[in-house]
Amino acid sequence: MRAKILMILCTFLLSSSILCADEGYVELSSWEPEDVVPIHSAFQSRRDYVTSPYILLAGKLIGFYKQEISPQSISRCPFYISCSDYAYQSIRKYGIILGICFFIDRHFYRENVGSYLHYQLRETEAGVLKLDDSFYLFGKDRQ
Amino acid sequence: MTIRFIYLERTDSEGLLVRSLCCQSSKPTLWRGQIPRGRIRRYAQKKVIPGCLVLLVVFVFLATAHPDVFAQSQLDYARFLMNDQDYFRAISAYKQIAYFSNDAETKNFCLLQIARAYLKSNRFKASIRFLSRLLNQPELDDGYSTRAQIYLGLNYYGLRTYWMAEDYFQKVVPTDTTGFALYYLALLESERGDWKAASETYKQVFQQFGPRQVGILSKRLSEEILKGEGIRSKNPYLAVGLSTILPGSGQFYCHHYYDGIQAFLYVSAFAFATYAAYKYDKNFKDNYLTTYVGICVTSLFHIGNIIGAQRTTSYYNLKQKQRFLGQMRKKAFSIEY
Repeated sequence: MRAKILMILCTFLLSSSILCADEGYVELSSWEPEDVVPIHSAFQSRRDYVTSPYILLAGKLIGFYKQEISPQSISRCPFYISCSDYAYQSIRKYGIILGICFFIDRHFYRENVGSYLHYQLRETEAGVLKLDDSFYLFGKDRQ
Repeated sequence: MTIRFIYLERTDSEGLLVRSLCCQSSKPTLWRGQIPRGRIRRYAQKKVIPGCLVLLVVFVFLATAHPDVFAQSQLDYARFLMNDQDYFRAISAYKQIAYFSNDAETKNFCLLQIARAYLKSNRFKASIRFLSRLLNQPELDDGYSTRAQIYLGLNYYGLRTYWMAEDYFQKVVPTDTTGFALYYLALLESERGDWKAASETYKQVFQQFGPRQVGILSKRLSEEILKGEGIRSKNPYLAVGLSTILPGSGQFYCHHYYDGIQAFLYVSAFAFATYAAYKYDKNFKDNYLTTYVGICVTSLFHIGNIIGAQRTTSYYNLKQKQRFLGQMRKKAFSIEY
């Protein structure tokens, strides 16, 4: 029993060290005018290749969800960066395990009625007002 | 010609006498309601039409030969649009003047006003483009150069590129006679959270430009900005510790109550499920595979809760600072450069 638990812990630690953040991930520089250049197009213009196979797999899965599953339902996410985008960006930035934790925090804990009290509104490219919680992902103010 | 009014008498279909008033003249005969059209036409042909033609020729001559004759009225119109906060039309008006005018001074003025209109409508990049064009103009007046650089600083301030804004403001501090460059530098220092330095700079503005409006406001702001030192911020380490012990309590600590409740419910539900799986595996199975899966999922949710607590605390602190800074910004921008 103890040996099995130890084995799981070791696997966990190993995986966390292996499934580290993507080295090719380039964050937006602080002087980039986000109000002029929308965040998605800014990311697209950057170097956009993945070095880790795990992140590549996660990207494929999220891409499949975005292309095949998501269009069949209405857009109900109240946040400016949709949950799938948030998951992909957090996985790229923080690695698989921490990225999933970030996604869990966002999708399960913070997506509720109270979020309308705390986050500022921001207009998307389609002209829809959504809540901006990009601070949680980038760690700095991006209003 | 003599005109007489007479009654015409006739009998209607029932044999009754009907009288109607008529106008009778010697030559030509005018009936009631009739206008002598021929006379008006002749009069117009002789006097009005040639006069109108002369006026038209003069107007065309003035409009083509001296376009600047009407420039003042167009500038007034553009200024009116700016004051009316109709920046989109104001930009069009100023662009039109700049295009048709041959005067370099007018062109520079229009470029500056276009950049100002873009700045006021929060289109900072467009404003920077026009200011760069203005600064590249040959033989630019020092006054225009100073104003353009202050507007550039304000644009970069709007883009939250504080180091660029600071660079521009510091460049024009020696040449600026309005005191706004130093005033905005103090604002930048407050954005960095350096409240004491901001207060000192505001005092400096008051000493140099005391009697002016900017000096008076600076004196008030130099006292108010020191309240920033008393902003109550939450400790992220404490939030992380609380969330580790009791899931969701870190979020509660930062007043994100719904997040806290959800975190507690999710983590406790998964923990309970894992415990139930462990009991089941222990009693009815020879391996603990379900328990291991449960432990992994619960760990992920618990770590997510801890990360969320840390981020929520940072976000709460930032919001507190931004709220105070928002008030300061509102007061600082109550006077316009």
